[in-house]
Amino acid sequence: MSENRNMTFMGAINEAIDMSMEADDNVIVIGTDVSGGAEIEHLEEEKEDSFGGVFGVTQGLAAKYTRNRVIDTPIAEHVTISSAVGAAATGLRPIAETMFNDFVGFMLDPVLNQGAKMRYMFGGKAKIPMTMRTIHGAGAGAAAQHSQTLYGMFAAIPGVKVVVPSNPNDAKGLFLAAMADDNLVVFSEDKTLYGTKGEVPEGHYTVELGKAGIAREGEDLTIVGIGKMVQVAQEVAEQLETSNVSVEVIDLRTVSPWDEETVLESVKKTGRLVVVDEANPHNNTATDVASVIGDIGFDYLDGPIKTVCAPDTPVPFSANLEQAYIPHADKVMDVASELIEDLKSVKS
Amino acid sequence: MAENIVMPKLGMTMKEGTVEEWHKSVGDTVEAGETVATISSEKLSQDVESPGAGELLEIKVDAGDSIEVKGIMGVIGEAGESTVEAGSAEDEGEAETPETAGKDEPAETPAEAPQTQNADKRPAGSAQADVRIFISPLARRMAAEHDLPIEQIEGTGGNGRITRLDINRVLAGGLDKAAAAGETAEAAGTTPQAADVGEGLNPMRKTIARNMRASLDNTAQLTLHRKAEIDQLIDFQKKLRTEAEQSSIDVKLSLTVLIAKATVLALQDYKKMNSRYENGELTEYDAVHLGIATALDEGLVVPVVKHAEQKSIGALAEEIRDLSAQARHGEASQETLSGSTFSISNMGGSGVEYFTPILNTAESGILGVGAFQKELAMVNDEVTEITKIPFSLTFDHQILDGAAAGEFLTILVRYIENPYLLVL
Repeated sequence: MSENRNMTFMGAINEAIDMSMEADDNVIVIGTDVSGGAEIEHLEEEKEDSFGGVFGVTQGLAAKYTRNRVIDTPIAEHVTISSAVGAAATGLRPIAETMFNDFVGFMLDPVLNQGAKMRYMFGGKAKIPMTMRTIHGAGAGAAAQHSQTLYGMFAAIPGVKVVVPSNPNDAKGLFLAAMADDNLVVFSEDKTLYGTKGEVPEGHYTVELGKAGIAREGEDLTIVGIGKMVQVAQEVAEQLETSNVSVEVIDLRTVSPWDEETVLESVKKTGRLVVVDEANPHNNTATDVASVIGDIGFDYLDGPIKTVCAPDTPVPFSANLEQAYIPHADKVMDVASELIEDLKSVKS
Repeated sequence: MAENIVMPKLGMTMKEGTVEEWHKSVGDTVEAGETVATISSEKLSQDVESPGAGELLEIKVDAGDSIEVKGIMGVIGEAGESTVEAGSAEDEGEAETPETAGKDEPAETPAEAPQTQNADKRPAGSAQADVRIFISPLARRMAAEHDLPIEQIEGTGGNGRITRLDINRVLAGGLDKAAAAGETAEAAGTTPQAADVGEGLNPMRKTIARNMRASLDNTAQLTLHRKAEIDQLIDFQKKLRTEAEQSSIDVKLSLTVLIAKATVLALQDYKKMNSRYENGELTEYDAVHLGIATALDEGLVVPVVKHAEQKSIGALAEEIRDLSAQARHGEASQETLSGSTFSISNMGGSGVEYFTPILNTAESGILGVGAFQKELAMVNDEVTEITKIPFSLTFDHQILDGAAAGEFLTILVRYIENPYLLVL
């Protein structure tokens, strides 16, 4: 096998979970449908290859590690997450899956008041080494209740780390870093990225939590992307390159705590900042980045900071409206035109 | 707590204002925002409102008197309150009333002027009058670093905003707009590429480069040429020198000294030429502080004969000799090299006839002296050889017109051609 394999985003996460379970018996997977029909008597034939969650990310794990470590729960998110928080506090390293992040209403208390608080309230004596997988994002035709982008809600809670990977390589490295962390980490996966492929190294490696990546170096304009929006930023960068405008693309990777230093350093260089976030436009990660950089980067700014987000509406079911809802390159060009047009005219 | 009523700044160039009228008397009750006085500057008048409610406790500047901008005109407070507190809250230096001492002494030396202007300059980005200038924080910082006047930069960013691109363009190609009238002096020493002028030169050349560039950038220079007959002055000099050799005066009476004397007398007759225009203020001087351009191997300095109008020909000769020697030996002090009201540059020794001297800012004029020219002229129906001296007078057309400068030259020529006037 070559050193770097082409692998799907989903496969990279599956591999990271597999490696974590292999390395440490205290790692368990818990969630709705994570093992599917595996090891159920009247479903013998499906034993070997359970479906593995709603998108199949945990496929094959139940067969490999038994239902003792890949635990199905009823459709009761509160129970799933509460159990995982309790297990983490008492010595296991659970990977809890909640399917769609839209179900946040059912699982919020164990995250907000228990998992995020215990280490603090017990004076550091309790640790919550738990990774909560959840799924966000529009574009799959899943309608308003299964397509939202809510990692910003978790990022608003102190005591929780929130990771949003943009590619298979980072997905594996960030997941393994989350597993090594003794705090509650929300790992938010964009369902429309599951099938995307990329190079993924073999073996164990981590991508540091709280550290953004520079996906593309540039001089004139900084675009910060989160998750799938990094692709949008790259598309804008490629389009602007034809006008000789050089765009730096930053992949935020972790939205809490997010990497102020990397963004600031980039803004010091370019003077111009656009943040692309698929969340609804208010009180999200983009607004937070804009606010902080507007403060600590004020004297380096050469124009207003622009945020490009989804509109302030539910996600439409209608396919064409749904595509219009998701931030795309043309929308970035449009919203940020006052940061782009003069660069174009001077540079070309 | 007592509050000060201060002289407002009505324009960028306003340095002091005059209290035209007090609408309240000491002891009157005053509401916050109520008009208490009317003040005026060179161009404008404006009502001054009370900064607080209470009683007018003290009037520090009477109607008709002037005070510098931000100076305390009066104090508002509660009845019986001490006014000392309010006074001490202000910078003492600002509270002083500067009497127009300037008439006799230039207020600032040219070398110090730019700093003073910078200190006076509003924070970049604040609008002049009612025009709000949009500028990005980064561009604002860059403009400040390079000392660029943002009023003169065209913003091409979103919303007409000045951005880094605009600053870079200006740094590469110069300012987009001319300074507004009256701001000319404000920009003195802050030429577009001020930071770059003189780059790579030694310190003396750098200073010269900056002064020359600032002079050409900030004034409207025009040079008039005219010859004067000098035979009589030459005769006069010979006689004077013979006399001087028998007196206690230990100096050679050169023609340069006599021309200097003639210039001083002409300047006293024609004070418009004996003036400085800086910081938006034109000041004519009674005293003549005469700069004598002196060439050194490595450059040029202009030592100044202070109060030349009070000096006899002999004293003038001694001082010019001493100053030139100091300058050549690099011993001239900053004091000696600044504060001139008019300058002379003599190129006669190099055989140059006419030239276009550059103003030694902020002076309004400089006299260039060329080499003698032998000419044939008809005198009493006979062809006669006469000697003429060419003068090149550069003046600031902002301050004077050609006719006025011509008039000054006529006066000067009269002294040159009638040398006994020099000792009258």
